[in-house]
Amino acid sequence: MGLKSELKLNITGKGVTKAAFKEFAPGIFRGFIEELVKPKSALEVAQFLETATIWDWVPEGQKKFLISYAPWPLEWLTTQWIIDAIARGNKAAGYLLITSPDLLDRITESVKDIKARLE
Amino acid sequence: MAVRDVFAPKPSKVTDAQVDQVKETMEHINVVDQTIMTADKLAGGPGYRQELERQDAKLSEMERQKDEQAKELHETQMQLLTKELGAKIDELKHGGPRPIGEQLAEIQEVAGKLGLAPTAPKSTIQELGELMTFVNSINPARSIADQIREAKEMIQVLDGEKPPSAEMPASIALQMKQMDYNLQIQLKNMEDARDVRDKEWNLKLKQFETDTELKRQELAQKLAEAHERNQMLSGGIEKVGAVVARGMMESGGGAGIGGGAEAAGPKIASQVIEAAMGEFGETTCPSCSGIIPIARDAVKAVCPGCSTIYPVKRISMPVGVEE
Repeated sequence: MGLKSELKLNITGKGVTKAAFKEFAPGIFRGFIEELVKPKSALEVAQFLETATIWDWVPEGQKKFLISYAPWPLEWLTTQWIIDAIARGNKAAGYLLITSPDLLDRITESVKDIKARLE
Repeated sequence: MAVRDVFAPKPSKVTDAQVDQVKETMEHINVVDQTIMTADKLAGGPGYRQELERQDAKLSEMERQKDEQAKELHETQMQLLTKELGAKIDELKHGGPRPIGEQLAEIQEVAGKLGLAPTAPKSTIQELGELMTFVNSINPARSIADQIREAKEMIQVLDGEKPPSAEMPASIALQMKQMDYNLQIQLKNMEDARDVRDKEWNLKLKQFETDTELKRQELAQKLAEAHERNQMLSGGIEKVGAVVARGMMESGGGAGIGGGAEAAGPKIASQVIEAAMGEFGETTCPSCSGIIPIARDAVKAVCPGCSTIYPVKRISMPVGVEE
């Protein structure tokens, strides 16, 4: 029996339901956004947003996990929510984003992209 | 030994072989002469051109006479055939004992011999033939004049110049009813086709309206997003400042850095940061020495340390001067 199977068994064994997973969705997103932007400089975050979408930030394993439990209710996922999450992890990056119309557009596109994939 | 007189002519003795050789030589000379004369003629010697012209004129005269004879023969044949054709037409007009179709076939045959068929409008002859055959098939026992009159009447009825008479033969009336029925079917088909076209047009119109409505909704959504973004740009700094302050209070770290300034609200610095168009980077805050990030298209920058807002003035760099 492989490691993944064991992990899956452990999760299901704890009785974590699909509805519960969806309740945790904002926390999951906020967590990895904060952890992602925390070690980066504001300019690095800006450059990353210019070249990729937020969905690209999500690790492959978490992508599969999120897609496997789709559709998610993502009415809470807005541009403002993303900026808040980034500002929590990196204050300078938060200030940089709100002063740049282009970067705000990129975040809006990222929100649409995520919703198209998971909603 | 007798001495021969050396001054006397030497006696000669001619042999038969020598005579044959001389004859052969003379014949050869004659052949050469003939060849030379022929060559002179070919080269256009005196009198040769006149001889050629005479022969040419003679040939032309012969060809002209031949053409005249052929023409006379053709005219004679045409006269005979025209007479024959006239006789056939007279026979047809005055109602001969034979059927019209047979007589018409003969007329067409004669016309073909006269060469009228290719030049005359072929369709007219064919139509006439078909019409006469049709009339003949209706009632071959009746006279030609009656049949022609019926045909004319039928044409007038078909053209709408005259209403159908009660005396019309049953076959013609039946055929007219059939034509009327076909006309009704065609009109019905046209009406159906028009209905289909109308339905297609209405469908396209509805589709166009739907597309327009979708585009209108999309445009409204974009406008709402733009409005939201503008609002965010105008009042977002305070909001993010509050979020950051809340986050710092929750985490309990970094509260001392600009904490007082955030509590009192952001302040706008009088100092302007100058940057080239499209330039981005970081600069040091004069107030708290913190690092101020400046976005590529930003017109203001906020110090994350003391939350001071600095206007960013975009200047055009001189040519050749890089950052």
